[in-house]
Amino acid sequence: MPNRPVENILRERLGQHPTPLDTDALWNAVEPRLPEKKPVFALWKWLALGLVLLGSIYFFLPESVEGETSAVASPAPVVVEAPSKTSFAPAAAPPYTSPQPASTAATPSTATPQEKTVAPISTTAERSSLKPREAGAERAINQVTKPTTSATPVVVALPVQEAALPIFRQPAPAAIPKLPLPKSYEPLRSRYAAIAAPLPKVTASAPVNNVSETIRHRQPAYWTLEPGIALSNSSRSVNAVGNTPNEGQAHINNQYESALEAISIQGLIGYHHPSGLSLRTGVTHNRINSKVASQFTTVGTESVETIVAIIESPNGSRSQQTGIVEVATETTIAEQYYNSVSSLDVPLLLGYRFGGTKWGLTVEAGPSFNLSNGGRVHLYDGEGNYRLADDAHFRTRRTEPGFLANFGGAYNLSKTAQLTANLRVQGSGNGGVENPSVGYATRYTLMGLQVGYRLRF
Amino acid sequence: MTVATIIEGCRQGQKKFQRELVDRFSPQLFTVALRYVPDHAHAQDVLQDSLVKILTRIEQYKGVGSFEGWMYQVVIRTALNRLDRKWMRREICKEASHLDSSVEPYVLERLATEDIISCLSELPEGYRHVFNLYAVEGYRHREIAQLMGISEGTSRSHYARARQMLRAILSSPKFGLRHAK
Repeated sequence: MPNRPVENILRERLGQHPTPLDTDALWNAVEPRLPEKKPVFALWKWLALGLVLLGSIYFFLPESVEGETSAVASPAPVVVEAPSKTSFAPAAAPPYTSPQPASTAATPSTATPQEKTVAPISTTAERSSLKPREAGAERAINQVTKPTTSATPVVVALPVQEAALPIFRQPAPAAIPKLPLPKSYEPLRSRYAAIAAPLPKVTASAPVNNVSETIRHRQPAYWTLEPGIALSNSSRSVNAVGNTPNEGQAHINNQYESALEAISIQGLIGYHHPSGLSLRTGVTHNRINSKVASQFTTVGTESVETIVAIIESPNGSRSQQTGIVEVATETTIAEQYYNSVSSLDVPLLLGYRFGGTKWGLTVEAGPSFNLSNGGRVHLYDGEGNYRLADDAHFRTRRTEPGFLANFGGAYNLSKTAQLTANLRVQGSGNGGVENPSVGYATRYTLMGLQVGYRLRF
Repeated sequence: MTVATIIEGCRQGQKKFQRELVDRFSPQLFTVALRYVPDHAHAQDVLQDSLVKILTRIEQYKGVGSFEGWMYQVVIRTALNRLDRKWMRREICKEASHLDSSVEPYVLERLATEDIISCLSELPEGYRHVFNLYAVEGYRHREIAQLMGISEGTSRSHYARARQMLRAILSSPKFGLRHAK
């Protein structure tokens, strides 16, 4: 039988042949099983993107923040002079019922010299004995007049429209008008005057300048370059593509292949912010080893030549007779091959550094993008045979991003050099390392130790 | 509506394009499913599962090769994964009879497509799958071995035996000779 004609005929007849079926019924069966909307972007990708954006924004903010801080911290000195007499005038009802300092402070006040001799309310018992309206007035007074180191008592009365300004920017009142005090408040006059008695003098805001000085004295931003090497334990998971997990070849590979160590070499360049945040990127090369091993036992027979009889003659001599006999044999063939996967990735790591001058603790993580992917693999067929997969077995590049995370410490060898050690976790993307046509996808997660030498410049 | 339009619409999850894909391609996909499973009921189940996979994972089609070929692959893999794989370890006791090698193409030319499918369905399960994959789908033995989890040598021997058996089936009164005469 000639080969091609029959196969050609079969392909022509069967290849595109439609078999009629009820497509309406088929669609009715398929439609409920379809998801309403396909996921546009995984949540973790949004989170990673958000972190990177936040970090980036933070990097560009410091200059403007520092400028603003200086501007606020150096106002023109404002001195609110104390009036000649301590004064307070609860002339209107609203100041006593509202705890808001502005409305209270806006009320003009009057006082008499004799009121200064009354003892201030200082104990908790005395404060708690005040009626609610009195307590509101007390709070209002204390909030308006911020205590400072000055011993001179002062009460500042401000116009309503100026009350919202910071206290040190509010102008001193030009004149304090005197308003009549209702008789019903006479018993309280002395007590309110006592509350106002220890009020200090508001002075200039010189200490605020220390804030900007503190910022300027923090560690400046710097760049680093870090080559490193890592030894990791790899774990692998295999799923069939488009099929139920652990079927077919995926199942066979899971059964006979075991993950071994992984070696990673990487070089990272990073920008480190004084706040401790860092953003690093670079190139990482991983070689992930695995082993496929099996033991296959066959039972059979083997023909061997051996003594089958011993003949003893009457004179006592003996002779041996040889022949072919079948001997049962059990043959065990144990085979093992080493497979490897290599990948070149570009991680983007957002990190944070805690710690002091000599030691530091660093946490960083981010997505990892694959540049190239490849390897060498022996596949087991489940029946004692191995074959070396061809070049098309692996994808040349994985499009799905993986991740990389480092957690470790850095020791300052000098001002420009650090020794680093990290617990390193890296995962390949969801798509697997194999070509989709292979029918299954293998994903790797590496967890190991990494040491590096960080140069600062 | 072009195939590219349908693919793009399905990627966006639009029902209209998904329905169009089902209407346009399911008859051919049904034929593929019928070659790998024993009856229509099973083939319909395979087709439903395959269509769900095709529509939900259509972004995995990267535009390399024909879209129909990619869909056929999904159907074939779905069908093979539903099958009992014990046939790989079973001894096939049927022995093919030796026949005149010139009869097959002649008979096949005159057989209706449904009859050819019936002839193929007479083959033992493992042989039928290897024969379908090699002779009809055009897979190579290396790919078949990878797909079915068997060795390349096993695939070759299955195919050779399947051809011998097909000769016997085609020459039987039920199929081949009746049409040849």
